[in-house]
Amino acid sequence: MIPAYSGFLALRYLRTRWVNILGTLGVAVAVWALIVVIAVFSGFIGEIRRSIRIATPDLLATGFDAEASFEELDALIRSDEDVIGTAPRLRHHGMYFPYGRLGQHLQQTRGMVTSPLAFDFVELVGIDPERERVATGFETWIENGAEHGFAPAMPDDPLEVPLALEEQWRREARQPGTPGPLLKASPGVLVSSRRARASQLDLGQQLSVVTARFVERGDDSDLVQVRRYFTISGCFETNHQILDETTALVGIDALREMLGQHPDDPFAIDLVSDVAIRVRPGVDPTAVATRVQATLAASQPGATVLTWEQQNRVFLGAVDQERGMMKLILFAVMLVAAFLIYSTLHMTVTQKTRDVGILTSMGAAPPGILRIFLLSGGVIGVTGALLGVATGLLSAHYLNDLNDWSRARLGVELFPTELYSLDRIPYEIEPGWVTQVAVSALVITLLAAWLPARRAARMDPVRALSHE
Amino acid sequence: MTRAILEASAVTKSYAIGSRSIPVLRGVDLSIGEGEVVALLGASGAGKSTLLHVLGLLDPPSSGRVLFEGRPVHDLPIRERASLRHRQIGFVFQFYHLIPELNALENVKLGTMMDRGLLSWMKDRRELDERARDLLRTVGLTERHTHRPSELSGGERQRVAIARALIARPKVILADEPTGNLDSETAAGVLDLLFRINREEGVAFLMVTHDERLAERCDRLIRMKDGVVVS
Repeated sequence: MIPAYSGFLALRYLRTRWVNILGTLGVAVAVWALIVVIAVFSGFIGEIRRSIRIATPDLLATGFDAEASFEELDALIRSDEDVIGTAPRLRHHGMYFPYGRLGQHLQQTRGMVTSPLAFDFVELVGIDPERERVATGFETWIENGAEHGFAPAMPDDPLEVPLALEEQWRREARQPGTPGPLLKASPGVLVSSRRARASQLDLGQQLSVVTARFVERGDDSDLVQVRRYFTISGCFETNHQILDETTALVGIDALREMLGQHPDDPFAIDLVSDVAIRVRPGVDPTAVATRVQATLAASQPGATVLTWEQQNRVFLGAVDQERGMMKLILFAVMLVAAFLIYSTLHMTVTQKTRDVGILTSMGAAPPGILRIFLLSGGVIGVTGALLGVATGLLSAHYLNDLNDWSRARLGVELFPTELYSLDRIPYEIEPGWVTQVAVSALVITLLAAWLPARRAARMDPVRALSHE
Repeated sequence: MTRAILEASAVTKSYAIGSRSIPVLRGVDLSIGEGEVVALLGASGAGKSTLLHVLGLLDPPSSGRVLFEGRPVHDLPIRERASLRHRQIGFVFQFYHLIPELNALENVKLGTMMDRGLLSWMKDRRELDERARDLLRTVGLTERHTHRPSELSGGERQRVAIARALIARPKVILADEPTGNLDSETAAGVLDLLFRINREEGVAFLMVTHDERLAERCDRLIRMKDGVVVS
């Protein structure tokens, strides 16, 4: 039983000491910050995970040896009943030059290539659009690309270029040395809408794509440059910033050809570096990854199968780490609030020393005295936590309005949405986290109150009575 | 003599100051009967207040025994001592010792909150409130119930303190120079009140005082010197 006087005096001591409002506000601010900042962080992480989820296949089998042929791998992978789609991929480093720009540029810069408009390094990823549609978020990439850049010329096969389009572009561009009428259209390339904006690329524009491959030359090897014209047939956007910045998508056969595997050559192999895999919805991808890797192990001992999270482990780990650091830093605010409460209650106990003696003479026992000050801390903690949770939830909910208001009125951007290419500030309230914050606020304030409360309870009543 | 309520038997009390032990009480024997008013006289430093604290179970004796209604109580567990102090023993101090944040009525009502939980107190609060108001009227405070101690005169404060000591219906009140801080006219009024309470309620008093004239009005007189009872 908590004696009535403990609660009665706790409230009275709080009511007559305005300094306690500081402690309450301190707790409220800490709780508010922990809720709002982490809500934005979680929203941001959620946004990143969603984009990564779209940009990354469920599973990616990789690490095959050079002789790996897609047909064999595909049969093995598809033997798992939970695999519902596969798509071959061939990755190779390369660079591209927008047609005609390099010549002009070199004249101006005496042989140095300095402008990002003149050329760019990319990772060429050879894909099969039909199979990508089934196995990955390819369809969404093209939709996003159409929204932020331009739509593909041939929606059914975004990598196909109509001959007329290419010819039209050549006529309009009026580049010096433009070849005459074409017999056959160039293969298509998809650039990201981000790259298209940055390098001023457009539909139908020609890119000179360059890569290199090693060829055997007796006992030694040689590096041979391979160059081919591609026509921009559309653009894509996965929302995975790094992927979008560094990737150009081409037809897998066109890339194989550049690497010396001509599709008409009877000895050519259907070269592949990765296989994107779609897993049946609702099935745990990790379990499928383990099974598929085991199936592949016999013929491809070096192969690994990565889940979408493992494929982005470093990046996801980094943002998670940042959120963890943020939590730690903001908990420090809570500790400051706790110190504030500790010192105000310590002061109250010193001021109320004689009251402790009086109460003891009236029949109060130490546990009851302890509870006066513990309850004071409890009231501060509960009030502060409730206030913090309420303002935290409200300001998270109205964060975008607040941001608009502060941008319009104060010229201050609370959260630079453009920096992260987001339209609105994302936020995600996790009830578990809110509860955790509120409970720890209460626990910390009770701990802060416990020390002064214990000092009061241990006082010698006779000395306390003579305290001035 | 009537039945003894509160007794001290061979009570000693020493305080340690550094490595030295200072004896304050050196074997005190004394007994207060039911409804008796006893004056405790002695020079400053004779150990009167210490004896009061030991008898009121605020301070344990170094040796010897304190008996309440014949039962040794000085070595009871702390909660039982607190509960006994609450229900049977009242304190009145020279400097009133009211809680400054509470008004007169609340200071008296505080005495009803010691052995009840908040809910049970809330349930009976009308009744307890009425009793506190009654007591304030009994001690002569007919108005100013909602005034804080700082807004009351010395005499009024002491009346509130007496009402507070009475609210739990104790059998004995230990008063440490209850009029020591009051002018003679106010002091006489407060003393009249104490004697009236003794007559009407049958509460025993042990009163520490320097005032020989007050001492003469008491049933019995105990003199202390250097930590022992001399007469």
